[in-house]
Amino acid sequence: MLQAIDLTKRYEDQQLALDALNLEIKEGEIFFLLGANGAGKTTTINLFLNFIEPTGGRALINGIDVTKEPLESKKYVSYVSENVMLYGNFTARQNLDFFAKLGGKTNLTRDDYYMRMREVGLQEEAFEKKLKTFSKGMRQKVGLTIAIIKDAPNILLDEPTAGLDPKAAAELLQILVNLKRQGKSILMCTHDIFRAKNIADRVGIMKEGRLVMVRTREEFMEDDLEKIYMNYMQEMVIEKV
Amino acid sequence: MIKLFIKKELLENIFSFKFLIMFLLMFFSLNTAIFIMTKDYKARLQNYDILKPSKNEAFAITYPTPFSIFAHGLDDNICNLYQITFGGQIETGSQKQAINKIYNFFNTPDLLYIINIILSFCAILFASDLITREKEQGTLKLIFSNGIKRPAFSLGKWIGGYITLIIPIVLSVLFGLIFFIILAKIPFQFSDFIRLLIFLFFVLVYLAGFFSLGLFISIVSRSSAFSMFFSLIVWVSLVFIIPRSGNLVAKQFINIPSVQTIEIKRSQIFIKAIFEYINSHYEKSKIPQGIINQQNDKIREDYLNKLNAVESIARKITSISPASDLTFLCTDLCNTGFREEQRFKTFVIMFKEQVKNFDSDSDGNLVGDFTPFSYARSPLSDFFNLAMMLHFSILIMYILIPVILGYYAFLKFDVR
Amino acid sequence: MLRHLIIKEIQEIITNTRSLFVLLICILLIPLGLYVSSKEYEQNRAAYKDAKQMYEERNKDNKGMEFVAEGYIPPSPLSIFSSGLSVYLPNKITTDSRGVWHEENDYGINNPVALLFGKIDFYFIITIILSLLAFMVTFNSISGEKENGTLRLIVANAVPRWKIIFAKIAGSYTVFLISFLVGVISGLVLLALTTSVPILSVSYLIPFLVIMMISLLFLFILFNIGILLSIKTRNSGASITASLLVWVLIAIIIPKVSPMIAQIIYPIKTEEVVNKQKAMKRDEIRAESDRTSGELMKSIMSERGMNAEKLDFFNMGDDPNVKAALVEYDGMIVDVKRKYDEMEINAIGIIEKDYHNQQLVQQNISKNISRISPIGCYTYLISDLTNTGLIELSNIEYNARQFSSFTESEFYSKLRKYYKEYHIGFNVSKGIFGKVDWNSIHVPTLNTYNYPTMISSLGANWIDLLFICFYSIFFFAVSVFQFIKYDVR
Ligand SMILES: Nc1ncnc2c1ncn2[C@@H]1O[C@H](COP(=O)(O)OP(=O)(O)OP(=O)(O)O)[C@@H](O)[C@H]1O
Ligand SMILES: [Mg+2]
Repeated sequence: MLQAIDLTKRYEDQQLALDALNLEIKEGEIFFLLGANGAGKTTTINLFLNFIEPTGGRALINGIDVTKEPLESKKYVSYVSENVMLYGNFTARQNLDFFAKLGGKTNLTRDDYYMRMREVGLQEEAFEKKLKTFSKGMRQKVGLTIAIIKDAPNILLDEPTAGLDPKAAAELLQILVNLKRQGKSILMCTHDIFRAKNIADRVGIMKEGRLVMVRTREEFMEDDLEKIYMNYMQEMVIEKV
Repeated sequence: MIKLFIKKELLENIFSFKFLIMFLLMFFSLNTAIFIMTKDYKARLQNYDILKPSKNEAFAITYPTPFSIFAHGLDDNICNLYQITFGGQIETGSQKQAINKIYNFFNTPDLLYIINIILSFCAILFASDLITREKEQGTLKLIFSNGIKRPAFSLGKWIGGYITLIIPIVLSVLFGLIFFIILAKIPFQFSDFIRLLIFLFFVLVYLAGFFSLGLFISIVSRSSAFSMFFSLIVWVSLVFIIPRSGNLVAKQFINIPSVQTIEIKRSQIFIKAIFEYINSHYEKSKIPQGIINQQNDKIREDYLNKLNAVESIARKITSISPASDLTFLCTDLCNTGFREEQRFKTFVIMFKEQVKNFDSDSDGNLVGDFTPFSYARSPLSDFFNLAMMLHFSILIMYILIPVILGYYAFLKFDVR
Repeated sequence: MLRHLIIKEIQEIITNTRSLFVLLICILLIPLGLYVSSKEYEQNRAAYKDAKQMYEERNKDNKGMEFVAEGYIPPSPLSIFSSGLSVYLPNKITTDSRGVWHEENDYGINNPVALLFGKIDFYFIITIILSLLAFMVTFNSISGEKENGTLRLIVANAVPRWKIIFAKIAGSYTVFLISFLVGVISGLVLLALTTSVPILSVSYLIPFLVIMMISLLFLFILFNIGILLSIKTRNSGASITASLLVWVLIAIIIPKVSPMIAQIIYPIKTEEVVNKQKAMKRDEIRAESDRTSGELMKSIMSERGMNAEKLDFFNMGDDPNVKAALVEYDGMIVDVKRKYDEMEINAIGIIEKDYHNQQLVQQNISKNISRISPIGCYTYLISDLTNTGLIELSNIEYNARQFSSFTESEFYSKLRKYYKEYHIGFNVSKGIFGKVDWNSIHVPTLNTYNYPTMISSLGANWIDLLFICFYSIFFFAVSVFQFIKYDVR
């Protein structure tokens, strides 16, 4: 379970990147965070991972305050970052092996890794190839596998579908749905409204650091999600004028 | 088109962190060197004023040249005190006028040293990621997607990069010259500035060599971390390893006796002569100095020949490295090099010939009314000779070869 | 957890081309450096033996009070690790019947090329090449991972930061260490196989182990500085620039500039100027001595009603008056002369001592300045451990004194005894051999040259040792601390 209570972040340059965010993502729920570039999505994830200190409020993972017990809280979360380069001189399997061990999974065999990589749709021949020869999407898949292997109850994804081909993106979302069925709480930041419509349980739209709208599946299925999004974005344009 | 590239290169580099650091490093080290060496020069000048031989002293010593600020070279050897004593022997003063023993651990940081080591370092490193960085940033692809001719780009890169490299050097040297040399009233004549200009020209050629090498490495390597690393290896070999191993390799060819054994041989001759003199019951009125001198000279000559042979082999080997070529060129130019040392020594020997037949006092010092030793450093015209051209052409080779190789490598190189 | 991090670190470095180069350089250069230095040592040793032998042969029968004993100082066996000041150190002690001894250096400079460019010894390889490599290995250890995004992934796990940095330092240092040790071991094997240096004997191995320990600590300092710089810079381009700047500062600028700064802060004259001053003082005192003795003569003569200036000393005839005056003069002049001799010795001693003290002050100033750089500390420690450093200067003095008293007791005093007993004149070669057992007197040679023990060398350099330890702990702690605060975004 992921919780944000009045979570606020003001950067050193006084930029208010996140303004009193209140959010709760339950077990077995996929929450999609939409918003323009610079809206504060990555900031939210960074706060959950304690990469940055909040200037106000709290972020909780399974009820654990991430600023008070950062190490304990990180046991319950896995993370897929925006642009994963990983270790170029390691093979895909070596990369997985290392991060799996970091995540506390020390007794996995080679076959386990292969299985997981097959699940995300990596080609068999890529398993033992050095990562620096991978395409961007292939790297992204390895990054996803790392998150899956950790098998944490919460998953944070920052634009994971960027750079993936449509089939791969669809597969990724299918994997997310499977994970959700296993009872994981998933927070995914994305610009991909279509995918959000397909699988999200709830969708939030951020604007200038504020969560301006949250809709459940039922609500946004009635209205067209795309329309809602555009409306909010246009408001911004109007406001600015 | 080339102009555009040069402009872009200048703008991109001048505002980078790397340039700032490089500028600071160069400015700081060049000016510290000039400042310290100016002080050192003045101290040595004072020293010379005290030691300057008066009329009846058989001392050979010469003034330190202000150019030793730029290239100290063997000036300590040249400005040493040579005393002609009984039997025409030449006694050398303390070998290096090391006031402070710590000097001997770490040798003199003159301007040439800074240029040889630190600036070449800056040059090769600066160049070594000029291309790889563009590859990593992806800007190379963007540029070539516009149908740009590769030679134009590479030429622009070379010129732009080189200009950014030399701006801080020229500025720092000018600053140092104005503040430490002119304000300190170092006796420079107008003609000396010509020497300085030539010096600066050599330095720029030398740095162009390292810059081209770095650029070449940058073209053929894939990541900037690697190209920087590889440049460093090249730099260490050229600047440290080759010059330092020249002497060593040369010694493998020629077996040179140590000075100690020479010294012993010499005293053997002396003792033998004295014994002969005693045994002959003082018949001859004087100690057979002629024979002693003759034999001493022979030993000395023998030794010097071998030393010269080793030296010339070592010189040839070390010439492979541009750092040594620059050292040879600049020390000769500044009258602190081998040539000057040899010339000075022949003057000392001439002086010895003049005074050796004077009487000596009980301490073995020669006494008499001889004209004091005087010596003027060689004129600039002596500098231009075949050996100098050879060293200079090696410096040029270090620009040409990487540029040509790099040019072809860049034409074939795939942008991925 | 720590184990996995370390293993990954090692794997990552090994798969990098850079480590191959490091290994290659270590394997090529360290044996080369050791080999060259030991060849040079062998040469010096041979020259030393030659000189000693020639000296003994030449002086076999040269037994007289005017004989000047020469003690040849062997080159330090440990100089194969660091040549230090060996070119400038005296290699010969002379001492005469008055007990006056001198240290001399007649190595000369074999070749100016060596003077211009320096040598490749173990010390040079560590302080210049390996220090640079240490920076090259570490410069993107943190900033590189940040650029790759892997640092975020690692930190997103429940791993304490200190473990991450700990593993980083331990892993990369281990790999470096292995290359270094491989180089050193192949160097030792090469020495054992191709040179006569008994490198595997206890007398070599123990100091060598100590030198290695200090070298490893020294490299550890540079490692941590490299990692610290990698932490403090945001991308690997900036890291490499910063590392190189720091390297130039600590390897080149600080050590080289320190004596010059000391000379500016506390200027002193050169030895030749001081020699000149001594000569001037001597002349002054001698002139005064001559004047005084002249006056003495004058006053003695005038007491006896003679004018000293008009006397022709070479043609005095048998004037009893003059003779008596001269006898009186001879009786009195001894004291006068002795007084002036003492004065001369004192005055010169004061000049020398003053100068020596000034030198020491300046030396200490520059030593302290250069200690800002770990290379300064390392230099003083290693050169003293290999008996080629500053301690050796006073050690030679100590040995010279020993040799002088040895010569006195074994040679001159015996001679003196015979001279007294048999009233032998001064010229032995003229030979009044009589009952003297010449064979019982041997020409003195310096057979045992004492080096300070390793412990005392270490003890004398405790500041440097302390600094090296301090630097390693300090930079390690600062790196760990800075990484804990590191912003992984
Ligand atoms: N280190 C920083 N210092 C100052 N301001 C920052 C910093 N990082 C982000 N910001 C600002 O915070 C705001 C939110 O940034 P954030 O990265 O969270 O956006 P985002 O929603 O992830 O955008 P994108 O869709 O482009 O990834 C932006 O206005 C940005 O300018
Ligand atoms: Mg973002």
